[in-house]
Amino acid sequence: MEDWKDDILNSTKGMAKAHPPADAFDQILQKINNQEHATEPSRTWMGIAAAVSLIVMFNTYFIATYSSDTDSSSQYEAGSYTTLVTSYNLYENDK
Amino acid sequence: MDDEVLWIDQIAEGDENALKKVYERYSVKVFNTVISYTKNQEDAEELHQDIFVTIYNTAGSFRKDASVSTWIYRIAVNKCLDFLRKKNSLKRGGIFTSLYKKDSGELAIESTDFVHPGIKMEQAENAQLLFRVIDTLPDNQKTAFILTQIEDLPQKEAAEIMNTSRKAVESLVQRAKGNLKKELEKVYPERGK
Repeated sequence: MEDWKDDILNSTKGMAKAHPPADAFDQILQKINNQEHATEPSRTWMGIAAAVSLIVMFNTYFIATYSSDTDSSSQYEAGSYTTLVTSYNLYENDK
Repeated sequence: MDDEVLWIDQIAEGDENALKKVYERYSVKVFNTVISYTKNQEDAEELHQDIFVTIYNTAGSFRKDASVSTWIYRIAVNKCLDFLRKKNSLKRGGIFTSLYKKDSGELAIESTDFVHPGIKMEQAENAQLLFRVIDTLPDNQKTAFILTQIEDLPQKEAAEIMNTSRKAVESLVQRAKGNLKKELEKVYPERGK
């Protein structure tokens, strides 16, 4: 009674190998080339995004540097003005 | 075998000639494994190509702790199991609801008339029955059965591919055979009479 089931389970013994289509390798290469082309636009956009980020960073840096320079130079001028006024305060020392 | 490792290194650098060498050595093995899972020529051709594209794309991540053969078979088996899961989830999505048992919702036997292209004429009918019931097996039993009983790989090699012990593969094959017999009795009760 078990024979028919064993026959089915063993039915693939000694079978010949199946072969893929002859042009399969060419199609694989085509797929590889297609995916490489497909990634090119995203690389271009990533490059553009990187360039824009750099421009924004440089601009931010220059604006920040410029404003801090302006602040420090105005502080310096204010300090020297006080000194100047103090040094021109001719009558204070006489008291 | 060292050649194969060298080829994989070359593939990682984009060498298509090295890919051709690996293809020539493994394409038939991969195709036969794949067709045993898909039971469909067109799906097998598509998956077979996909596997070699994956080999090309992931060659850089090949770790030399396994042989190239084991690595390629692992890619093939994983791709096949993913393919079957996607196919089953599409069916569960309602496209092929008629293939499911109404009471339990389990996958019913597909009415595939797949005949493996390499099968002997006198075994065609029996092989057709075998391929009909093989999808009722859990993934690990199915893989152990296909690799050792259909592809005729040694249990040791199947164990490496499945990342388990030879004993475990032996046990999986025995359980697979038992389950297939039960399924055959259920689906073809008239055959035993």
